[in-house]
Amino acid sequence: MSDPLLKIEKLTVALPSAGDRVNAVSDVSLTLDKGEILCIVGESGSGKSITASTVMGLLPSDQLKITGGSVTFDGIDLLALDENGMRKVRGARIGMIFQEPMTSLNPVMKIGRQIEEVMEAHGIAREKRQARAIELLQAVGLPEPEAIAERYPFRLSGGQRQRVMIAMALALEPDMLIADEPTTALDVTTQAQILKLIRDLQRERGMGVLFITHDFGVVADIADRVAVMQKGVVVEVGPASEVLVSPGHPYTKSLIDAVPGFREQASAGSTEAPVLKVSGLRKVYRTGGGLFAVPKEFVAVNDVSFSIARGETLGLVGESGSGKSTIGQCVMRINGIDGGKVEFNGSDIVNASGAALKAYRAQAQMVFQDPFASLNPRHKVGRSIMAGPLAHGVDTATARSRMEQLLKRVGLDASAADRYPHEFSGGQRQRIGIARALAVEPDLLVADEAVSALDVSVQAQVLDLLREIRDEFHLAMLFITHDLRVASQICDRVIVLHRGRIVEEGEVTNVFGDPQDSYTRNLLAAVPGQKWHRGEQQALPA
Amino acid sequence: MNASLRRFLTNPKAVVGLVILMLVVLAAIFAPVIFPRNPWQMASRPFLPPFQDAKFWLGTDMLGRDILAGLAYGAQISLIVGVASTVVAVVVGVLFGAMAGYYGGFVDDALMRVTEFFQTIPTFVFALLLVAILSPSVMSIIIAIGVVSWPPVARLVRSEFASLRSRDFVKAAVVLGQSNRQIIFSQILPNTMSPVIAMASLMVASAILTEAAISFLGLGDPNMMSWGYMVGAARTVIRQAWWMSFFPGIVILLVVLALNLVGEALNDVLNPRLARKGRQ
Repeated sequence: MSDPLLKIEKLTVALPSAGDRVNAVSDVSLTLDKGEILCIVGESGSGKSITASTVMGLLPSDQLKITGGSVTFDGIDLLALDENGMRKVRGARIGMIFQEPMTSLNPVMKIGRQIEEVMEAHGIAREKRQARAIELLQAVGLPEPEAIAERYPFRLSGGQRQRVMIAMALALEPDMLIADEPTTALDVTTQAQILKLIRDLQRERGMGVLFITHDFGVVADIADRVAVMQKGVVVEVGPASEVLVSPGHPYTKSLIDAVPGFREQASAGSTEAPVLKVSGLRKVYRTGGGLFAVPKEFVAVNDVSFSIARGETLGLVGESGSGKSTIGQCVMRINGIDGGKVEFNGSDIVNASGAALKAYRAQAQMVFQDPFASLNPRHKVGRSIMAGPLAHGVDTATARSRMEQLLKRVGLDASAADRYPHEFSGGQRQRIGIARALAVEPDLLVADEAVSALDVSVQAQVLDLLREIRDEFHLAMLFITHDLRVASQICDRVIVLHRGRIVEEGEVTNVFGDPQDSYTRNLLAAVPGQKWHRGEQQALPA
Repeated sequence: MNASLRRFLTNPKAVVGLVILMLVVLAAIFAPVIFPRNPWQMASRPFLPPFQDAKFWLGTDMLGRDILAGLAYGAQISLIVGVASTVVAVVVGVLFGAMAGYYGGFVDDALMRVTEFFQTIPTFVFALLLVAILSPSVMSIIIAIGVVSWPPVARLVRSEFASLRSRDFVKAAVVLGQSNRQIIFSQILPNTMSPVIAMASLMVASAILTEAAISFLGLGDPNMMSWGYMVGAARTVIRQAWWMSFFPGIVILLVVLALNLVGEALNDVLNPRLARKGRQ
């Protein structure tokens, strides 16, 4: 066998002092052959992106220093190259795709021109560039490539932009492609398309692909080989079929166990009278407009009706733009509505104001998506949690004792009350957010993508916590998520939304097990790692 | 906060600035002790050049008044005007900006048009006009400078509020049932303070400059010795007696420089992301 395309040997990158560990990555050795997809998988902070950045020479050199090891690409020592030499390799021999398609294209330059610029930087003759750009846009499956080349990035969707990024990365026919979480910001159906595209292009061109992801489902769909990283160390490397089915390292095993699968057992459901009743809800967003312009209208939610009883979890699932978060905000009265009714315990809350609205605020609470943005960075945790009860006239001593109990209930130490949010991890902050919501003793809890920003192992813990709390406090829960696997884990009933309308609803195992609507079927088909999940379950002893 | 304070105090810019400011503050406080005589009174022969008489280091002016004493008393009015007018400007600016940014829509439009009205008038001319109308006194100078310098604060606070308004922690506060006032003052305002504090330190410097300019033109408080007045009064004899306008001028320069150094250091510490962007 010939030498591998990429060989990383004993790579060590030091973290600036005062970090929680000495090295960002230590002693990482990996190889990548031509025509192979190697997935580096790990949780946030595992060093997977730093490994990729080192290969591309994109480390912020004032903060992270390479202290040992070597990176050899096709016989070239990449770490020894100067900036000029590296520039020749980058783009031409190694292409790269990033996570965020919305920010990685220049917003004021036409798509075609941006692709041509890559070729220009590497000295391709002017006459050839335009034709080649169109060819590339076609190769990445964009319709009407000539028209797309003339457009500015804002007119393209996230998935289309990611295709453009791939076209740019492929412009000079690189031997290797580095993809850093390229599908994480995309909807599940778009993700499935992009994964297929990368796989097809890789086969067609015989490239080596270094694919970085946190999602084992994606790994199962795309990887030939897998490297699992934990805290800067590669804990396990092997063929995907082996690592995924019979993981050798306990960490890999725990990660795979934490991946949510589809629930098999039907939920009993609730027989109580509903607390929240939404009927014919309609919400229109108006943008622009003024003295002389007619505002543009976008119907975000159209004729949506549902109800939730205490002790029951209703899931709202759908892709971005389906209106699921808008519904949550309308229910919470963060947004006004343009039609329909929202009733809580029989009383109308859409037009509630003053004391009636305040009373509703004590009964309905929300857990937010981003654990970093949902806590005031200048308030100590205890103050954040006590703010609700205090606003509703509970005396300080009662609020404090309730806050301390809740901190313990969500699995944090009572001493957390005197610390600021930045001292906590994402999962811990989400627990604080849950405690804050529970502090006013609500009957209804709206969880808007409450576990989407969390690592998979933490996600499983927070889901467990939410489930326990629902039963313990006998809450009605509205759970909003884009992740069907998560919805299947926690919800009793589920509503599938598409462009602001309900396309399907029912008991969760019924809907996901036997979808009636074609949109639901597409969504389910796009969930990554399904074959693997099925295989795993078959392998289990009955 | 402790880490920020340490970073601030180890910043060489901040140290230089703070040392100069401390000297000025001490001079202002102890002026009546060190120079018991009224600074307006004749102390020695007129036109005494500096460094000749040990009692009058910096010499005397055309009426025989001690220049060093004048500088010490002048520090009082400079600091009072600088700090008080900045407080006025920050309070007004924060209130306007907070309301406009938080409520948006019609309130925002109305408040911002008022702000723009103030911004369209050249600030110095406007300040002079106000002092002339209110009749010259320390109070009227403070009000005049405060009135012309709040619009930038309002714009800054408004943009901070508008972006913080849509953060999840603010939505959480709404959902928890906190009142608008609580949300504005306890949730959002503390998060906008870093840039406001940095801006305020620079505003003190420009207020001192404006006060000096007003006094230079003879519209200062007639009962208070002021650096601007000293420069203005001495300008007719600048060829015979350079020191009369030179020393007050140097002091103004140093104080404004010190405040700018402190302001920049504050900015570095309080908005580290911006500072780093600027340096690269």
